[in-house]
Amino acid sequence: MKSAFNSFYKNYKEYILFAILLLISISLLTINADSKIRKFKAIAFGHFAIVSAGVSEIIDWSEDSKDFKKLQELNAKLTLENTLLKSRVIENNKLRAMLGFKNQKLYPLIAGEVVSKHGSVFNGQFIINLGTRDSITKGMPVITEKGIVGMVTNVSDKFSTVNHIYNSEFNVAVTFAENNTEGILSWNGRTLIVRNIPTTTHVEKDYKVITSDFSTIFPAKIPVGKVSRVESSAAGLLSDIVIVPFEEIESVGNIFVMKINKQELFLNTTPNTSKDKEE
Amino acid sequence: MKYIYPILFFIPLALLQVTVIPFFSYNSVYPDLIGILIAILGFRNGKIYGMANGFFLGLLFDILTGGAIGLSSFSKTINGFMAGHFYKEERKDEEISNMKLLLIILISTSLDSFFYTFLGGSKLSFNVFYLLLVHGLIPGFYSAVFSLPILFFKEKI
Repeated sequence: MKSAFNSFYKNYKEYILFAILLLISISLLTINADSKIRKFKAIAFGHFAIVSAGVSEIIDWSEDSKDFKKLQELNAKLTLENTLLKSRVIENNKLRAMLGFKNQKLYPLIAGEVVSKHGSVFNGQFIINLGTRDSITKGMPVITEKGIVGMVTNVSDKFSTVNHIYNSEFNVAVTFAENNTEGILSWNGRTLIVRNIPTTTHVEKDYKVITSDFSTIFPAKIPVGKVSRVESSAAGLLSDIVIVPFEEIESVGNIFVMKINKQELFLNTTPNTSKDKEE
Repeated sequence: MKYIYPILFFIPLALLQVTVIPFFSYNSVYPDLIGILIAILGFRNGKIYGMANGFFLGLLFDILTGGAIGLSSFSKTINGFMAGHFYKEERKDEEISNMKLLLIILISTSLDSFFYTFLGGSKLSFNVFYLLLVHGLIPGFYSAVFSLPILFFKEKI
């Protein structure tokens, strides 16, 4: 019996080890949400990010001056203000009553830089040089002067990981600025898409997409992107709207984290079904 | 030394992977420097060495980059195992042609990328052929092209 086992082990040890390593990997995947693991990951990537930030600094040929950063911050604030004003003009043009019209608060912006990027087609992520010492907390929106980029998912002392919009875990409640149609924007691995919009709703190319008033994660009216095309689905009853983001996510270098107070944001939000799906 | 080399190569390659390689990405397709390293290690030292390195370096990469722990270790174990399949004990270094090594890097990193997306992107509705071509072969080919300069140093690995 023992010799049979030994001979089996000798002949198949590579396959046994292979199976064991794959099983360990899969079981490791199941513990990622554990708070202790998240904390451990935050410490680990925090230390690695110190080194990668140094490397990024070396390869960053276009070193930004402080003035440039200040101008970028100002630009981002003005873009947000501009989007807000534009959406108000559209509403006024349609002679909508002021009922349900919410006051848009401009949240403080914290300027930062992308230190490293990684991930695959489904889990786009980057690490930014802002952490708990800059008052960053999990769930804060990350934007640029052009529009939305992603959301903070894990925070260490000096660095944070950000799930950007090309990440299947990232969903956001959005509105088409021209007709106030609500939907959930998500990444399907190929395109950014707002699913299941009734075909009776008129949406056409270049319509502007902004974050929704109903979002419990993002402040309302942050620019997201524009409509690229409308695809018919479900026997012509529903449409999938393909969106192109305003920001070129893959080349993002400088970002801003919106310092929002979740409770305050939640209180300003009218509950609806979309928030349940949003992450 | 055989056990220190992988770590010595891993650290600079991991740094390059997260800082420089994103500049070469096209439609979220990146060349995979860690994948190339594991394929070479597996091919030159066998299945066990390849997959053990694939597992530990993959795990280390997941931890250091804040990614999902277990995802890279899974795909890179397969990478190392696959590359190790082409290992021959009696073969001498000078007998290894660059073309053969390139082909093995292509196969191993393609499988690596395929399983990485397959496992991690389970929420996405991809069909297997699309996944194999766009998220397997194309990144694998990209990695193989990127491995050309690395092959100059292959004697040192």
